[in-house]
Amino acid sequence: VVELSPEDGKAHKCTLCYDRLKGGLEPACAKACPTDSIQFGEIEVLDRRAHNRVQELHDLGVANAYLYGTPGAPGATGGLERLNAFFLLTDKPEVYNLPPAPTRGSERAPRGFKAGVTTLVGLALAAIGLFGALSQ
Amino acid sequence: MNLSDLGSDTQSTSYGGQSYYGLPAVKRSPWDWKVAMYLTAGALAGGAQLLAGIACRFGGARLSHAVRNARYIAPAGAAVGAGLLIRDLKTPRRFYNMLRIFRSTSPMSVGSYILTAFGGLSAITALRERLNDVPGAALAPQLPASIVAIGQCTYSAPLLAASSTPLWAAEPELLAARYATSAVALAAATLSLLEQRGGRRAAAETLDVVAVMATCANALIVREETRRLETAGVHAALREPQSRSPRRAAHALTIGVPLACAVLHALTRARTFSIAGSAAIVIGTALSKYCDIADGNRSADDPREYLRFTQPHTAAHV
Repeated sequence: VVELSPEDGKAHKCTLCYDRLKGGLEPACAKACPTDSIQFGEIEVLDRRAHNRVQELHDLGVANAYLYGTPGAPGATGGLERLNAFFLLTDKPEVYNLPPAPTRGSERAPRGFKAGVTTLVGLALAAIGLFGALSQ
Repeated sequence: MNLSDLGSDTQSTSYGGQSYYGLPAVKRSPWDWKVAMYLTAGALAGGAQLLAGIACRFGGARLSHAVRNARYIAPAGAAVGAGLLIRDLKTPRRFYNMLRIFRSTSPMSVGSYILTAFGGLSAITALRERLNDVPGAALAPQLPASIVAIGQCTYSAPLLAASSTPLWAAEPELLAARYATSAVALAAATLSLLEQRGGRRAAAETLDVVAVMATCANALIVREETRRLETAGVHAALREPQSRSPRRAAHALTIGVPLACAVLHALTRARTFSIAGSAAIVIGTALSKYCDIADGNRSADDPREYLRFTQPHTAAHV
């Protein structure tokens, strides 16, 4: 998550507490989380743990529980294979302000660029035709 | 899954209007009028250089003064635009870091290089023009300058579309096409004003026709863009009272007034209508860019706009 700091005017991004990781500790948010909802670790390990937890919740009767952002799940859409931070949710993604089908923004740029260049070439050809007709 | 509808929404069948306590789902851009003015200056510079390339090759002697003016406008617009962008940086002193790396997937990185290349080539053509006795003669650096001008006119729209701001990202092709037509209309209108000032009516009238062609294309694109944004339900920001009047004024100035002036000019041959139409395009384009930035920021503040934009049915055609 990128945040613009009003103090130094720079954009700062979560480093997953790089300094703590170097010391063998988990990030401060994961450590401080009272319900241990924020978990930190190797993504494969977390993946397995999350799938087990969903199964466990289903067995307990919480039929709404599902994963968001894991491969093939909501959140991993539009060319996004997976999110490196994924969630276990019990309601529609919108209820958590999460996009139901996010896409990669940078993939929109070439589409816009092509459309813009095509339009300009069209207008340039029209202008050439006009100047040609007038100079006859 | 519990799919209870927490709100009513007529725009989309699959989205019930829920959000996390109405808090913004994405961050708004930090851009204000400086970036809007940059978009205007950049479009004017790019459009002018493109028209200079076409006019010096196909326009004949009649447009030679317009070519000269266009060659001066291009570097001036690039310099003013770059100045505004640098002012907009949080640490303007270290603007050169924008060119430290090149990343082809980042429109801002690509754009920084396009603007630099465009500014450099435009400075060279302007200098060569200054050294020539004959205005608007064919120049060797004109072709590369005009080719880079196409990039200069185009790159800012994909840059906006690559963000997560719903209003900018919903229709990348139409946004880019609209910016392309408005760049040509703006440049032709500005050059026409300068020709009228120099008393060269024939040249001004030719440029007016270019402006009208671009304005007609612009009108069609605006129409289609509005229709598609309404269908996707990503236009709530456009309907807010503080956005509606400026946007209406921008549409009137960029489309309605110039087209009406073109008709009146054709009927009466009065110089006033050419000047009024061109002036409307210049003012209207600046206002329209300002509306795009302000409305985009408002659309980012509204979580429902973003969540509608990211519905699966929208994502299929996005």
